[in-house]
Amino acid sequence: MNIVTTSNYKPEVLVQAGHRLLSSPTARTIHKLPAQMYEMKSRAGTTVRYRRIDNFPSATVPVGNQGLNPPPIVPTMMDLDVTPQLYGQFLYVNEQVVLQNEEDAIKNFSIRLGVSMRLSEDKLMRDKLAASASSINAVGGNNGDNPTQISVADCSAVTTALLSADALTVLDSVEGEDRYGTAPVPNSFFALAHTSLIKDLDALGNDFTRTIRYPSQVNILKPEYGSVGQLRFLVSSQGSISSKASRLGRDILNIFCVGIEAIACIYANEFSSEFIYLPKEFSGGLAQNVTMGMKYFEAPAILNDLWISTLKVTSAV
Amino acid sequence: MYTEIQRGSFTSTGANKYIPLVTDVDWMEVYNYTTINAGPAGTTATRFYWQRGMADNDGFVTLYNGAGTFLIDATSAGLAVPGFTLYNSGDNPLLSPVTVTGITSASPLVVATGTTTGLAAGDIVRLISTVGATQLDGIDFEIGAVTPSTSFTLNNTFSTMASTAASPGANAAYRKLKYGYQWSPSRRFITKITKGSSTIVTMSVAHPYKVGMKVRFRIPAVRGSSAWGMTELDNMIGTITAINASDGTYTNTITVDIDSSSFTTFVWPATTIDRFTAASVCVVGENSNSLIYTSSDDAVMNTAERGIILGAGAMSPAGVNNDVIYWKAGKSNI
Repeated sequence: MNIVTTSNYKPEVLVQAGHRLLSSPTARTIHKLPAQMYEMKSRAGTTVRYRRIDNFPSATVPVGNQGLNPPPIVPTMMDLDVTPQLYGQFLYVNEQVVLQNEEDAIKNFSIRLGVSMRLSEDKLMRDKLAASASSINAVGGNNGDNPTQISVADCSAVTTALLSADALTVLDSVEGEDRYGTAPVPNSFFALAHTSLIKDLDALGNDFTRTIRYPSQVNILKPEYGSVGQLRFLVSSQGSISSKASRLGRDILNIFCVGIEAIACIYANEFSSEFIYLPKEFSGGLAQNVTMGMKYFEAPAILNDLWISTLKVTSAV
Repeated sequence: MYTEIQRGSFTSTGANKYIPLVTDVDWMEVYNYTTINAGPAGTTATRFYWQRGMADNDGFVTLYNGAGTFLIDATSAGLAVPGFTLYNSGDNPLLSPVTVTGITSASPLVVATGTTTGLAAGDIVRLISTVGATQLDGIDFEIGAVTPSTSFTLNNTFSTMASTAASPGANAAYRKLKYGYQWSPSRRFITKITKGSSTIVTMSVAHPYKVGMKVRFRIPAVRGSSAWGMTELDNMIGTITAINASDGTYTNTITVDIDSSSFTTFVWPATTIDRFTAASVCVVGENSNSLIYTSSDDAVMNTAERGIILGAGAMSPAGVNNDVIYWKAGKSNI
């Protein structure tokens, strides 16, 4: 029987573009979440200088009744300088790309540029903290390495250090409710970590509370995985790792435990970031190529080293 | 569309030359003014060319033949000499582990290894799995002298840091930091603290600190021991009043306005201490009360850059000591 099939009568067009562009894996940006966002005035030099005035001494000696004054106070202080730097990247897109691609290349490239900028900012803050913040090694684990895997004692040690330095917690407590399997969560510091930490957090057993066991699911950040004591862990595939840097050659995971006003991101008030699009008319005689780019001008900063502590850990196995 | 061209010159120190190129680079020409000016003389190289797509450490070399009578063309790979290598110090990786066979208790400490390829004075290395001297593991050290294929010394170290010679096991290794530190000024590890009405602190790697900066110390308690000794200094903040004063042996030091006379003596943990945090110091700001307060040096800057490394040597683009080198590099935007 003669029958018309796709074997003897092929479609003119064999391939069509899917109507949805596939998602690009994008790390969660956690490192700027606890950062203060401070503006730098434009047209006012290269550097912002922040000042911290030391607490005045306590007045605990009675003045007496003779009308005499105690010695006056001379304030002491410390300055902290921050100098933003310019970052950016761009691409040229030939007009034939726009002409021939079914998907909207220009729109999709602009999205990718935006994602690149946010990931870059996050990475800068991460690397700045890894290079400059004070750190302590986990010692409470039993994997035989230095540092060891994370333990409850190490979380307590970091929390103690932050509270002893009068750091303020970032997150409010989650009040207990009459819901089976849940437990209240105290006011907490952020603990910013790589996703590789998850299995060792789970191994802490009842000392670790996963977010699903919080009495309320309101105001939980998407990257949050759970809490230990007064540390609430935010995890990202872009968390900080010092590759094969432990005593036994394991990766070291740097967990940044952060209180309020410990870190900041400084940006210029008239130039925080820019998306750049130059139409093809700017590209030469035949006007063939458009220019797309992004740039941003900022600096990550540690405002108070006592209010951030890096807990360095390895994995249990 | 256009080609961006950059140019420059330098006098060789006999070491590899890092040339930062913000626009990146697709090709590069290098001229050794000294050898060209000297004219034909033995096997000397005069010109070099590299183009994107060539392997790391390769490049074209124009050199005189052995008799010094005419020029010939060769490649760095063919001559087995250093050539051109792209770099991006923002990556800042640790290089692969290289086996360590022993550590000698001396001032400075001596690290025995059969492989010293690529090591030079001033490089930063990190030790791992050094059984018998595990108290040195995970800490960055600066290399002093290199004895090829035999050993290297660690600047700013003391025999007391490893009181007995160590015979590390099979996994003992050093790893070199490829480009040094990306952020400056950044944290430094402490190797010695000298007590007094002011305190002198020696660090394992050359420091960028300046007078007037405020620094914070971390001298954490060690598990099961007070092995760092001077835990009184932990979390204290002091102002740097002098830099590079002698600690009796080295001058990679800062002097701070902390009276440590009554503090416990600083010592290194014994190798039997299996878990601890290294003693460290970091910049936290500037002392605005100080008369020596002058600048914005405490601002921590990102020093990452991209560019190209010119290998050093008589047949290589960075030449030998005192050679005058001219270069131009281009980046095509299409």
